[in-house]
Amino acid sequence: MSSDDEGPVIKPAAPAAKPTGMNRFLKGAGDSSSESSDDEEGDGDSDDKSEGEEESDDDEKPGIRILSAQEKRFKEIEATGKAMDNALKINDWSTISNEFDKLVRMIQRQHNVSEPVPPFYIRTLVSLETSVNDALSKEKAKKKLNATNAKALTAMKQKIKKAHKEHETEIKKYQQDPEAFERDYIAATTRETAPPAEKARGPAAAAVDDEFTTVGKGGKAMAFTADTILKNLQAVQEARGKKNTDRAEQIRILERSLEVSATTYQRIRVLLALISSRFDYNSAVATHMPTEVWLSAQREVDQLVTIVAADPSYSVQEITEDYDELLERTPTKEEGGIVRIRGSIISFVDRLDDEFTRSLQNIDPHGTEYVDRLKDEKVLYTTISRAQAFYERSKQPDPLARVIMRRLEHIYSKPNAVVQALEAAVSDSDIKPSSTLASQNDTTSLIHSLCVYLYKSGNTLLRTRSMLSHIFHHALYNNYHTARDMLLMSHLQESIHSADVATQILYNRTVVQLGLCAFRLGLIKEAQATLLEIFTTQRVKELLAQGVHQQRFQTISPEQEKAEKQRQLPFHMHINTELLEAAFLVSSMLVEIPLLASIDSEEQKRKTISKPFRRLLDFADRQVFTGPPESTRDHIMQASKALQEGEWEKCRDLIQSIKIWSLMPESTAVKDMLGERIQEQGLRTYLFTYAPHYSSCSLSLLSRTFALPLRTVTSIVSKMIWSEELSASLDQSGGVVVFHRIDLSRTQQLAQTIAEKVSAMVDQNEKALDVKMGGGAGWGDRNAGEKGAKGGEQTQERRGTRTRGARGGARGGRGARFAQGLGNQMSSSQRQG
Amino acid sequence: MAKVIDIEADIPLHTVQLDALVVSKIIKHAREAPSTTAHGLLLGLDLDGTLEISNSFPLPHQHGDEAEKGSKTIARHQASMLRSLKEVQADDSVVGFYQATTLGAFFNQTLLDTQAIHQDKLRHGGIVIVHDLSQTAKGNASFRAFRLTAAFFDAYKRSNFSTASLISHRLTFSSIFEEVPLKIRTNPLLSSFLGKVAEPAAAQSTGESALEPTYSVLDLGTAGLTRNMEQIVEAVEAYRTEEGNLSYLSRQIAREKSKADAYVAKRKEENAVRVAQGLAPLPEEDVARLFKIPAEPSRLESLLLLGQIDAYAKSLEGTASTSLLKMYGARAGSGAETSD
Repeated sequence: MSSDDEGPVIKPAAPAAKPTGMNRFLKGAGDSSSESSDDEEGDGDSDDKSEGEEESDDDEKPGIRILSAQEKRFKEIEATGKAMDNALKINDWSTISNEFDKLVRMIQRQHNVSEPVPPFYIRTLVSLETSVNDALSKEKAKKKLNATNAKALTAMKQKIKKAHKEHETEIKKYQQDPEAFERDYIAATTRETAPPAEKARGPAAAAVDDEFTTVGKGGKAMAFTADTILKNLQAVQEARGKKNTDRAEQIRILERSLEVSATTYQRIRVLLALISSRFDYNSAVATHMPTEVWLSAQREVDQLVTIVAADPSYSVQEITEDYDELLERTPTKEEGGIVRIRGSIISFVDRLDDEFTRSLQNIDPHGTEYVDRLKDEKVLYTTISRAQAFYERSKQPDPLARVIMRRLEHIYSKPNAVVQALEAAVSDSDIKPSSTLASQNDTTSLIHSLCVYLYKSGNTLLRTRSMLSHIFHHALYNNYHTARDMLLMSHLQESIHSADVATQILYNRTVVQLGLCAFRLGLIKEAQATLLEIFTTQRVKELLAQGVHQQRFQTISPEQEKAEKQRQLPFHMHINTELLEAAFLVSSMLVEIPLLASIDSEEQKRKTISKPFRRLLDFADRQVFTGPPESTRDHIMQASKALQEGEWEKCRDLIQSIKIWSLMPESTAVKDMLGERIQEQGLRTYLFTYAPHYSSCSLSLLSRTFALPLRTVTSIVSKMIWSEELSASLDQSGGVVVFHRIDLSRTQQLAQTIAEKVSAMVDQNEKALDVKMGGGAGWGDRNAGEKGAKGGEQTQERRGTRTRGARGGARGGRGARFAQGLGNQMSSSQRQG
Repeated sequence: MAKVIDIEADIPLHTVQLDALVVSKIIKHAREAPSTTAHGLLLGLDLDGTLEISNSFPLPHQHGDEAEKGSKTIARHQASMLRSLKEVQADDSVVGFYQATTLGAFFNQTLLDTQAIHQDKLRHGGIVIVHDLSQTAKGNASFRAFRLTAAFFDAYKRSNFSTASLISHRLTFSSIFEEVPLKIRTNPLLSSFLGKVAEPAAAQSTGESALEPTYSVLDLGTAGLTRNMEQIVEAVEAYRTEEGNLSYLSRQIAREKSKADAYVAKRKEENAVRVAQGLAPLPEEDVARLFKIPAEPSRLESLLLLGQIDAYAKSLEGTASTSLLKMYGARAGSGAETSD
């Protein structure tokens, strides 16, 4: 063999360790230098070709002579090797490193088309290793390499080591007998060149080749005819997921296959593969799928659904019996007349929807791109609905439930107009699901019908989610009482803490929406109570998945952060937190200010309804100078002060001048409602504040001061008297309120405090006991209704199990922790005293 | 009664006998002390199961912030006092200490600590006399003698007040101390004098006694009520805080424990895999190092607070019930007058 080699002659740059050159057969790769003769190359080629022709019987259109892909690859490998040698001479390690990377990549590709590793590579590897070691030892002696070079050198060392490990056996073989190794290689290639060469023959290959090609492209070029589709598919599927597969190329192959596919079976198969590879297209680098790719995927899913829906003799299932991937199948041949194909449309739909959400998460919501992207929701919604229709027809309850959930998630938080637009697109499509807006008349009943299906389906998670979506929808459409009753009857608040994060977020959203709904309807107390839970945590944004909370004391790992980011809702689904805060603070103001006025002793002052509001108010009180209000909070704080002082008009003006109300639907009505509430609460505050100073007060004066009709004033005063907030009586004939003054003695006050303290202590003890006994009463004691029923159980539990319970301790409300912090301070001050 | 010389202190104490001198000294000290926590040392001897306390002297009041310096001065004062007493041939053997308190709530950490030291060092373990100022102010001089119970002392020595230890020692606040019967001895001369003084003057004379008649029985006792209630509020609040701390700590412990358990479980799983693969299992013992499981919190503080609450509540009950009775009485009396 070594007799006819020409490598050493051609490449003077080759290191000494490179003993042999290429054999004749492969020398095309070796002759990157100018000395190579044309006829020799041609010889090699024709040889190659004849080999190919012998084995391939379905070779089409011969005569177009192309360079064997394998040779092409080889040429490049050689070129890299040479570049490396050159660099080695001038000790340029960074170049060597780069070239080596290239080389490794090429070898990897070689590997992908399942060709053996060429001896050239092994040789280079061995020689490089020695030179690296030399250089390293030299470098130790005198540090003359510059920084980049030195870095490249150490990097090289690592790379070589890795490569060495990968090809350990080959290297061993090579070192034992280099010639035998090369002989083996030739034997292997002569056998193996044939199939890829055959593929490379087609006209399509030429078409592909004239683009900017790298090694290996030709090898994958295929004949796109109906006959070869299944083979091509298999090749693509085998390459899928491998490291160096060119995904774009695969997609192109599949697209062409789709064009030529003749039968339904082929079309389905190709579509399945194509959609999968579209989803594969971007893996790690980009945050989301490019829109064009997404759109084509969407179209293809549509197409797939259409095909499968149109022809009931084909069915796409997740689990099928094994079948030969390479055989064409028709319904007539299959048993039962149905061709079952492995695949999952629902997962495509899921993935499509997820990718859509992900792209929205990553696009800047303030740009036009976001709006453009949002327009795609229509087609996505149509696809989902079509999938639903398909599953309805094919009667597959499980995917149907999932797809309905997807559909529901697209419409539950949308106002009527948007839903109508989405539904309009659905009604235009050829296959429609059973429930559409057209058939159901209005959005509420559409959502109702979707939810009812999900309630009936066995999946608890979907049931929970649909329930929450349903409640959200009702709240959005101002059906406060329906929504509240549903929420209470679902008993979700007892179990939601054990649900998954996404569902918890949905729960939070639902609760918040319910609060807003109550606020819009003027149910101030309900709104305050509903929103309080979210606002006491001070992590509103995080709880609603509308922003990542900045954790001050603990750093979160990148994975956690990523997970958190993935959880974020796209911008168009956000509930405006500023509006939310405004609603919460205003309702807190309306509840809290009269309460503050009614409090006279210090002990009672600690009882707060809304801690966040109280905190803000205290802060505002401490301000030396208050400028004109700027933020929403400023407005509300100044309004609160005005309300405290009885200046209800100023308060009303301040509240109504908050700009954020414009985001609320029916903002004028809401503002009017707020005005009324402020008048009423102003009256109450006034009465609380000044009752001790008067013995009686004329109702007509009150009515004039607060611009309220006399009837309203009377009713408010009577209510206050009835609920024992105000110790007074109404003198109807004189039209006055007569105040009765009751002074509590210090002892009486103290006795009251003690009673409260002791009852709190009893509560705490009970709670501690529950924790100790491990009863899951953490949520049970929240609703007093269940307490009685549970009592019996608990006592039994206490007697029965004494050992369990350590676990229960881990759970604890934030409130308790807060009391902790406060308590620590107090106890330390007490010990000092 | 066999009067045996009791060298080894084998005969257990069954009573404490307080000299009238000591009583008056304690009362005087407690009343004049700037704070309510007046305390001092008791001197005396034990004889055949009776601890005879014949003398006492006050210890200087100690401020919270200069505790270390204070304790030194106290020690110096104590040593010099004892030396001086010895020089004048008076009793100089310490048998315990006294502590003034209000409203019966004498449970606190320093009292426990002192008594624990005494119980360890002194013959018969020493005794603590608790003197209740507020009762005395009402005309009932209140003295009670206490010792730590064996169970508590055992737990204290191990300084282990975890829940398990409390259970195994059967400790509640009422079993921290055991009360020793106490009697006050006056010498015959003094008792006869007292008897003479208190004796109402003869009917034939002007009706004046040597002593001013006291009207303290007519006091409705509402004055102390506020104070008492405030104390209760405070104690309950402190207890609540303490309880909060405890539950916080126990949650912390549970969390750490579950973490450690998870780690151990994971390691076990790993090891199972490794064994299946034929590798040597990883060591399992470094869990304790990796996870610092905090020690179970001491329940002593809450125990003491409970004791305080109990004492306050009892004294409140006592005063309130008597004053209620008096009020009804007064009302009935005045009602009778008006109806006349």
